[in-house]
Amino acid sequence: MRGLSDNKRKMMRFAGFIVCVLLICQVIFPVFESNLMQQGVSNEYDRFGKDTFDVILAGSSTIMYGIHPLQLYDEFGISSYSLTTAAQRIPLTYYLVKEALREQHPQLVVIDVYYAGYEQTTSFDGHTHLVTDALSFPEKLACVTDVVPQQKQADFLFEFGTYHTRWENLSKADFYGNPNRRGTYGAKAWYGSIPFDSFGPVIETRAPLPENADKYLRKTIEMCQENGVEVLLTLMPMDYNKVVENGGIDRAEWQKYWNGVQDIADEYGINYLNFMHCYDELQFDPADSTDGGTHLNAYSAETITRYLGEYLKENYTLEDVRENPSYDFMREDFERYQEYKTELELMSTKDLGDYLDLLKNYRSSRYTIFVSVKDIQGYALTQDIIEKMINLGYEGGGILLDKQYHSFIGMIHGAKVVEMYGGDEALFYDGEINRRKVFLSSRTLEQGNLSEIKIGAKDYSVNKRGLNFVLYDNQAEEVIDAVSFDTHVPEFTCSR
Amino acid sequence: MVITSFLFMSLLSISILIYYIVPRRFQWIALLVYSIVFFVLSSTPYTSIYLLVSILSTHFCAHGIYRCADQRRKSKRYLIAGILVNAGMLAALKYSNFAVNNINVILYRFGITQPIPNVSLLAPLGISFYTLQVIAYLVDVYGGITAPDKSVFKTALFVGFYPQLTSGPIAKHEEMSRQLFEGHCFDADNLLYGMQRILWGVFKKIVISARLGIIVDTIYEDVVLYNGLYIWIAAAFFLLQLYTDFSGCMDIVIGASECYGIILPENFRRPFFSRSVQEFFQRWHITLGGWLRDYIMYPVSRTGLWRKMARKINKKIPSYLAMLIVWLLFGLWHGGHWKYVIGEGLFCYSCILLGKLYEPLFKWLIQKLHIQVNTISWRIFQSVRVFVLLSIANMFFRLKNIKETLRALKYGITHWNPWILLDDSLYELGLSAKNVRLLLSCLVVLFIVDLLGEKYDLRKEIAKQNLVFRWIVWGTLLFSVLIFGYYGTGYDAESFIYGNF
Repeated sequence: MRGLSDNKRKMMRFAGFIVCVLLICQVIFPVFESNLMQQGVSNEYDRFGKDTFDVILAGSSTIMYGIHPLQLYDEFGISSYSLTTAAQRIPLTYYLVKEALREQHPQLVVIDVYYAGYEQTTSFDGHTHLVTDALSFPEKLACVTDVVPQQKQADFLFEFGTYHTRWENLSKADFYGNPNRRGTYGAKAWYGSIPFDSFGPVIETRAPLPENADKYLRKTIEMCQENGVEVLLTLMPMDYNKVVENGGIDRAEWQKYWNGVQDIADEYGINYLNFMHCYDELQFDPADSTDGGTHLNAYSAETITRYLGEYLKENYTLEDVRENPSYDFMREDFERYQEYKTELELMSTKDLGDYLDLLKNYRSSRYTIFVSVKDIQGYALTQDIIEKMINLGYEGGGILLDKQYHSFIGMIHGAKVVEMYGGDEALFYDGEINRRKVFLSSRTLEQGNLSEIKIGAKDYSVNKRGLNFVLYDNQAEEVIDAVSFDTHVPEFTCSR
Repeated sequence: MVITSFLFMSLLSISILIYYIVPRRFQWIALLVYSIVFFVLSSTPYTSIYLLVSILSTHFCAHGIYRCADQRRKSKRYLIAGILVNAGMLAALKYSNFAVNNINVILYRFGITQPIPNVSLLAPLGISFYTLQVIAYLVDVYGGITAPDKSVFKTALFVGFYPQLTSGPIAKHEEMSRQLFEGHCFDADNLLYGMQRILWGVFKKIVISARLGIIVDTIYEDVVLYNGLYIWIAAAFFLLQLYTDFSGCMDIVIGASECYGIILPENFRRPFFSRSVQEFFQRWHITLGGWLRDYIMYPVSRTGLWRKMARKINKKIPSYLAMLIVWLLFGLWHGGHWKYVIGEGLFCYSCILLGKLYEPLFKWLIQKLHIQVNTISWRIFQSVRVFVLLSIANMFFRLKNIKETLRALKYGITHWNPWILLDDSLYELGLSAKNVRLLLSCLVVLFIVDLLGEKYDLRKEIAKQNLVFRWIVWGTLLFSVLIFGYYGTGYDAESFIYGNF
């Protein structure tokens, strides 16, 4: 029989091995799922301590896009966080709120009831993962065993079973967390617009909710009330008659459920902010306020966030944390959030004039603005555009108005401006920015027909006819935007 | 319950913990309980009955044989009864439709067009394995090699010991009884070596075998489209898939048993280093080959009829005939279909037989051509030759029937497309380029491990190394399984669709 001490020593070493493995797992597992969670509970939530937020927002992407917590802070001093995810069904909301109550002890929970008309507890596995992957173990176990079919539960409890196949597609973005929602306190901002017909018409009819939606909404409300937390139900403005094909949702049919939520609100004595019957107060124009009738764009979100802020101030007693020194971090976060929103706005701008105006915000040593012509600088260039380019820093830009082929390379890094103008020829520039090699080339049609903007070894130029811009963040070492405007046609067709 | 599943690993972990807490004299009872739990979770109540009948009949007959040891005739009746019950169940459950289909073919030739309908019988898990094990047990009791278990529960454990129940290896009672029933003190080496072996088996199954299977399935799905060199790639990959899957399974089974301190017989011994088809089957599914040799070939060779033949004709022909019976049974054991009989059975038999018959010619050729047989190049040639022959044999195993196999072979021979090795065609067989490269890397690792295994006991060699090195080796293997393994639902972009709603 082997000596006891020998066995013990080997088992201790084995235990040490297991501990090392678990530590490595803690580091690598999040990498496999991080980039996917753009629509899930933002992983920035983990960096906040307990009892930080007075208001928790929960629900689907309609409120994720619609309400911006940092704006609520800046304008009203309300500390809030958006625990919203794409297609968050009400049973999943229940478990998210349960965990938030345990960790944050908020004063108010705002629940989006978009999914009040949905009967099943889950739909696409991915949507469920967006919530379960963010839950801590007690709630995760309860949620998965409650709402997920039994044969799939292992994959939700050990989510690496789902994500490990992403090893083939990992990129730098996976190692740096959730870029699209970094610093937004869980919200999502989108600067664009897709027109739709109309928000209405809407009906007044009420119907009881489908069984599961009803059950979990009531459980959520009761749980909050038992913990002394107030509840506000809300439904965002949207096209209330749209049929969502891949979601199996007919909103016209769901209107009666959304109206039916009022009965539940009355029963529990809580408020229900249902924009279905007051969207015209906000004066949103269907032509430019949403992504086609579902999610508000950032311009509209600003309006509705303000509306909600005023509503909360009038109806609830919430601390104004702007004067509270322990919330100074939120001021810094707000500044960063503003910068981020500006970046998003830039990245969605399709108008050359507006783009050049926005680029002026990036004339600092932190950023580098590159430009390079492919094929031709464009006979459609106007005096107005050239003046904007001169204002930006390209003082010799007037030559580009000539109706002849001109190659052009430009680089602005803080006070340093490099601008090279050529005729019908190829231009090249080799340089360095913060010890990173940069190479630009501009070749007219007969001279190679190419635009290159290389930072390091990678070429970021969109490489289309006209002006090709790249905006680079030297600090984060990442490209914020790469865009091309075809300045040879009056529309200045934008490509990304 | 799949042995690579989370459930199996969880139950194994719990069972090992309880096994070593329980007093030694009761450890076999704990094993019996786990075996019952495993069988219940993996089977239906209906199929459990067959295992129960097998256990009870085996126990009853073994005791009958033992009691009547000095009455040979009576003892033999018990033996025959036991074999008939067990082999009968196996035949009925696995080969009924084979018999029915063949009878229908014959009836059709005689103009009877109304076929006998196929039967729908669900066979219990592992019946092909445990049936052979109980037959061996009964014969060994009859031969005085081993004594029967006193308790029917001990017989139940021997028959249904859960790690080996579904896939073997086929173990002998005299090897197993002491190990199963005497209990073991905790030995960290057993536990750690066992887990290492399980890990290696899981790696082979879910990292290598699963990927090979994807390529094989893609090619064999359409042999008209994937012709020429594709066919040979599929044949080679299928053999490798079979090896990594089956031997991986054996690693898990043997490793799991080792955790209890129970050493099961090896079933694979690096078969691709064989120099002949005969040697291949001494290294591949070793326990099945051993069973056929000990319980079919030798008994048949010792019968009066065979001895008479040996005297009257010559010694070789009866041995070849005995071999033929063995190989036919070997083929049939794999399934009730002629493709197994032809491919696994007759084809392999032919290779061995022709090897023996033409041995003088081959020796003459080697001499005439001045071939050096004690060189690595000759060894490699022999191994490659065996690999090619077995790849062809296993095409019958994989493809639907003999006709499909011959069709595939025809497309493999009549089409010539070596450029597929160079023009990225191999990345369009269901696996991405990264996965193909990963697969090839893993095959290289497998080859190196097997090559080193010819000379060393690798686990012991690694155990002698410094701690950091050991942890790197096992940690790399573990994370390879976690990251590259085919398990779970995997990430499918479609299922993460975020609709505009």
